[in-house]
Amino acid sequence: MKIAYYPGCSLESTGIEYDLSNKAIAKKLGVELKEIPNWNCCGASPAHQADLVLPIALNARNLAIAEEDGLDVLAPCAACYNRMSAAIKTLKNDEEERQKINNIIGRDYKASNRVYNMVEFLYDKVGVDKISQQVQKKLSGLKVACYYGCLLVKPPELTQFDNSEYPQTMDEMVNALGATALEWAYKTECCGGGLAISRTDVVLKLSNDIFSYAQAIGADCLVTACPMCQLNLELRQPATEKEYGVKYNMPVFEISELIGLSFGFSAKELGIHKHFVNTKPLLEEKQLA
Amino acid sequence: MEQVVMNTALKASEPLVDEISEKSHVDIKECYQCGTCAAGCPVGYLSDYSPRQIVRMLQTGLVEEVFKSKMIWFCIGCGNCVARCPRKLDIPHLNDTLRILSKEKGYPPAEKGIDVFNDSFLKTVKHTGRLYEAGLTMLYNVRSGNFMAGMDVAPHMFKLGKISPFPHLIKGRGEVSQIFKKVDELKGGK
Repeated sequence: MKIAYYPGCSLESTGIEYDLSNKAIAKKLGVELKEIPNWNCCGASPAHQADLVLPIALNARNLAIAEEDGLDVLAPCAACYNRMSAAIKTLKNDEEERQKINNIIGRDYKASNRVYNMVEFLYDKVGVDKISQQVQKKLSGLKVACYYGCLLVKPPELTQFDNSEYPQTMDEMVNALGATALEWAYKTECCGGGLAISRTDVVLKLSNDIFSYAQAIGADCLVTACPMCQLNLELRQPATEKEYGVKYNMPVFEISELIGLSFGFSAKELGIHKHFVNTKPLLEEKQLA
Repeated sequence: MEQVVMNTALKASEPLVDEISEKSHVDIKECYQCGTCAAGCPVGYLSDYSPRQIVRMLQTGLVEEVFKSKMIWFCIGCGNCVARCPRKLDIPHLNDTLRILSKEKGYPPAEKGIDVFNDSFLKTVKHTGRLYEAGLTMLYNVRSGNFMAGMDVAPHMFKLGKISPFPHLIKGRGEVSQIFKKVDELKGGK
């Protein structure tokens, strides 16, 4: 199976471990990831907050390059995925807008392809059975709180994937790896990623809400499918702990990292040594290092 | 808030409210004020108005107060409100539109730091094709006057080799800056 791969800006910097793990597991799953040549930034939240046309145009260029190859797109970052979905929705339903955007990007994008997020791709296109078959080392004893965040499943009219209030696809995958996905109520609460630099106080409050719940249910770690959530929740964890006088020390993994570990890849091959929260003690305790 | 005569405000604001509805594709008359959006809003705790109040203010013609409000800047676009709205009002997109229009009409952003962050982010994309993290931090810190923003975490990032002091320059960056230019031209300026 071949798909256009849109890593997005995070995956070549702060979310490098996500990129490494995606590529590692794709090979084992027989998926060919063809990176969109010379892709540009999706504009993230700044573009749609600052302009009505720019976010559509920026995404249309990337989508058009993939379409020229006849490929659908895999966007592992939930924010990129959400912005691409929004662009496709507009361009599919509004011919006048499509022509306007095509004039701006200097290409003829027909809106004939679609975009998948990482969980959706693994669940719908690859399948849990196929993933289970590749498991060499069960993640037994690892208690995981699956954190979907907001942009993966919301708004449901746009994402059309899983349930926007209580999604379960990632939980099902985590269980298939031999780990235990825990029931909890903060699966899709926002971590405040977009305000990380301009209003860090918001992030500390929101991530404290998330971690205190995860800790209360006995989670060893969180698992996400978004480099923004992952970065935000790990990088600001020490400041959150300081602000609220608590101790979490809780790693936040990407789903492909956990899949990669269960497939027998080393932590180093998956970039797990590059986390902001030290993952070593947990992996050693669970004999996964 | 100063006292306003409701019916006069409502009449005078009609063209502006129509413009907001047209550009955002959100029909504010659809809202029956159930408040589900306010209950689930992650930034409601620190904002001046809730999303429900913003819509109510538009319904009653208090557009200027909306343009000056912090809520339109705090909205993080998580989608909780629209996911749960029984009338399916796309409030995040409404807030995007209000932010953009408020600037066009000359209202200073109620949360300057958020506006400066967005603008600095897009400047790096315009010139390099992708986000340039180190450049964004420098631009943001200087322009916002918040010189220490991100400095507590920057050493950790460099040490792990996660961010580079240099930008990722893509081959198609001319094409990307052209996109920015054409978008600006469509707005009739710059």
